[in-house]
Amino acid sequence: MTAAASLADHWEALAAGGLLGTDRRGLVPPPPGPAAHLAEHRVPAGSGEGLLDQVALLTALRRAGVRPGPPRPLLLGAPVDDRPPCSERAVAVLGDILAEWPVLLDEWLAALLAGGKRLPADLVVPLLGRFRADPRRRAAVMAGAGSLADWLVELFPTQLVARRPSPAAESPLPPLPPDIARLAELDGPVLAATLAEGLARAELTNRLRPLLVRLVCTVPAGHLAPCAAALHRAGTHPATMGLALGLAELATLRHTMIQELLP
Amino acid sequence: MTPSPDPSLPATSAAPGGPGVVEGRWPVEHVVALAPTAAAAAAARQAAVPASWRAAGCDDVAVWGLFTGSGAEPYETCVELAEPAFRCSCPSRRTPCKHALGLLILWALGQVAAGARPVFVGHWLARRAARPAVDDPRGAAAREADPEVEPSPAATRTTTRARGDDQVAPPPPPGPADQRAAERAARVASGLAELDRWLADAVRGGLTAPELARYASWDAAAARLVDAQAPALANRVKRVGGLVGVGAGWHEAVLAELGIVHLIAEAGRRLPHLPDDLADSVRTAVGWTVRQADVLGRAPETDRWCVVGRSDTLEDRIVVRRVWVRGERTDAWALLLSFSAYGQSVDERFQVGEAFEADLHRYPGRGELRCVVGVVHREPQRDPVPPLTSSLAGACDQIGAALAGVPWLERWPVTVLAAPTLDHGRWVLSDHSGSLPIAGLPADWPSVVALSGGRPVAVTAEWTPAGLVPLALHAEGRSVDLGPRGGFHERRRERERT
Repeated sequence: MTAAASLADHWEALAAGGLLGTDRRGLVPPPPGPAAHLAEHRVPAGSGEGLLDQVALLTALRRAGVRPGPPRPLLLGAPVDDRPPCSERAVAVLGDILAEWPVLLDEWLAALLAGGKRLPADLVVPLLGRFRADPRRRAAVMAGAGSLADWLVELFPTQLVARRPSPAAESPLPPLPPDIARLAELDGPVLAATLAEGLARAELTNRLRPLLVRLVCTVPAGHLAPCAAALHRAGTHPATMGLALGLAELATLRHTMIQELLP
Repeated sequence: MTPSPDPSLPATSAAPGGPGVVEGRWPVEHVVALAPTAAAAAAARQAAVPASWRAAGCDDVAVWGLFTGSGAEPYETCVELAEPAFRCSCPSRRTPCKHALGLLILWALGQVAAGARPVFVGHWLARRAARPAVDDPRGAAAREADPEVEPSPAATRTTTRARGDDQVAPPPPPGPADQRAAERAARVASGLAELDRWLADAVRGGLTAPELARYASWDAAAARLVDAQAPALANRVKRVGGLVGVGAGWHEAVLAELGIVHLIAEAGRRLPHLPDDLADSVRTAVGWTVRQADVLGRAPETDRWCVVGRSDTLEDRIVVRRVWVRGERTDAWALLLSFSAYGQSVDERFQVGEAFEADLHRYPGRGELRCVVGVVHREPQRDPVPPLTSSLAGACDQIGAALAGVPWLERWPVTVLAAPTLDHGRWVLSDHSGSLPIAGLPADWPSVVALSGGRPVAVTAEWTPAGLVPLALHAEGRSVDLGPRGGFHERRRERERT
C-alpha cells in the first residue's frame, strides 16, 4: 500500500479503516512527518493498536491545531429600537407575575408600552414562544419587542411563528360585580381599612378570593401602598391569614410594577 | 492552564457551603470505588435517594441512617469513616452493602447533615474502639467473635497480606496506606491494559459491528474500568458509546475519541516516566482522586473572580455543574465543579454575571483549571463589567495551547467578541478573523441571536471537539446565562437506555 499524501488523506484512510475494521482494510502507511515518526519508533501489538496509535496522534494534532474557518457575512442586523429596555426590577416583577400572578400580565405588557420602554432582548423569544397560540398577548409582546420581534420571527419561523389560537387562551375578564366594584371607588385609606377589617373579622373569605384579587388589580395605583400595608397587618385571623397575605403580596407586586414601568 | 479532562463522576465539589456541597467529605467516586462489583455500585446509586432514608446524620467519625427497605423495620446503617468500616442490619452478606454505600454517596454529596449520634451508632463505635486494630493479627480473631464489625474490603486485603508476610518478615513492612495504593495502582494498570485490548478489538472488527451499536457493550467496558478503579475513564468510555450512530460522520467522532481513550490508557501505564504535572493530569483523566484537603493545602490564588459561564451535564444520575470564573487581576481561568444527585437542588452559590473575592486553590495537573474555593473575602455580588474578549483566531490559539499540553481535554473556556450568523444554513460565530461552528444548537439559541441583534457581542463558550457551546452572553450591562441545565442530552440517553 502506498503512503497517504498528507495528514488529511491519512485521517481519511484511518477513518475508513476504523469503520470497516483493520482486519479487512489493513493499515495505510502514514505520510512523512510526525505520523511516520511515530510508526517508526513504536511497534504496536497488532493492527488495531497501530490504528489507535495513529488516530490518537492525528486527533491530538487536529484538535490542537484548530483554526477558524473563513469569516462569514453577518446577518442583516435587527433594526435599532430607540426605546430603552425596561429595568431589571421590572423583569423580575414579570417573572413573579408569570410564576404566581398571571392576572397582572396584561397590565404589565400595557404598562411597558405606555411607559415607552421595550422588552429586553432575552425576554422576546421566551415570551413569543409562550404566547404563540394566544393572539392578544402575542400582539402585546410583538409591540413590546418592536422591530426585533419581526426580525426574529423571520429567522426562527418554526419556533416563533404564530399558531392557531388555543381555546384555552384567556379572554379579558368580565367587569366586577357591583358590590365589589363599589370598593374600588373608595379612597385609599378607607379601602385599606375596609379590606383589613373584613379580613380580620373573616367577613371576606376565600370564597371571594377571585373577586378580591381582581379588585386589587383594579384599584388606582395610589391606593396600592396603603392597601398592601393594611393587608399585611390584617393577616391575624386564622381563616383569612393566607388570603390577606396573598392579597398584600399582589398589591405590593402591582405597586412595584407600576413604579418600574410607568413614568 | 487546562481544566480537568471532564472529571469523572462523581467527584469532589469545588464550592464549599452550598447545596450539594461535599466540603471535607469524600468524592463520590471514592465511595463508588468501595463497591465490590459494578452491580453493587449501581445498586448503591439506587439506594442513594434521600426519601429512602430517615434520621440520617453524620459527625467527624461516622455516618448513619435508617433505610426504609422492603422489611417491616428499617435497616440500621452506619459507616465508620476512618477505616472505613460498615454495619448494616440488612440481610445482605455483601460488604459493604448497597445501603452503606448509598448512605455514603448521599453523605459525599452533602445530603446528610451533621447530627447527634443515635444509640445504635454509639454502641457500635464503642465496641469497635474497644477492639484491637485491624492490622493487628488479633483483630481478625476479634472480628470472628463479633461478626457485626465489618472492615472494608481494602482493610480485609491488608489483613490477609499481613498474615502472609509474617513468615517473610520484611524490614519494615509497608503501611496499609502504601499497600492499598500499590494494590490500586496494579488494579488500575490491569484495567487499562484490558481496556486497550478491548479498543484494539473494536477497531479490528470495525465500528459498524452490531455489538458497538448497543449501549450495553460500552457500559460493560465502563463497568470493568469502574472495577479497576478508573471511574473517570469509565465515564469517558460511556460518553463515546453515546456518539455511535449520532449524526453524519459519527464514525470519525467515535474513532477520534477511541484514539484519545487509547492515549490515556497508554499514558496511565507509564506514569513513572511522565513529568509530574502531566502525570497528575493523566491520573485525573483515569480517575485517581485528590483529597480536597490536599488541594486546599496548595498555594492560593487570590483575585476578584468573575463568574462568566455555567454548564450542567448529567452523568450516572449525578448533575455536574461547571462554573467558569475568570480572575479580574490575573485574567486566569478557573473551574468550580459541584455535584448533586439527580432531582436534588444544585449548587447555586455562583451565578453568571456575579463576581466574588476569594482564594482559589488549584488541583494538581498540567495547566489545571479546576479549583476549590478557599477563603471567601467578599461574597458574590452582581458585576456589570463585561469580561475581556478575544477574536476567534485568538481563542483558537488559547485552545490549541491548552490541547498541546493535555491532548485529552474535552472542553476549554473562551470569551469571544463575535456575531452569530448563518453559514450555508448552519449557525456559526463569526468575526474578522474567521468563523467557528456552534455545537448542537442550544435550546436558547434564538435568545443569543436576539441579544446580539445580528451584531458582534461578547459570548463565553466552551470549546468542545464538536464546536463551541455558548454558555453566556454579555450585553446591555449584564450577563445572560444560556448554558445547558441539568444535562438534557444525557437525560434523553438515559430514557432511551431504560
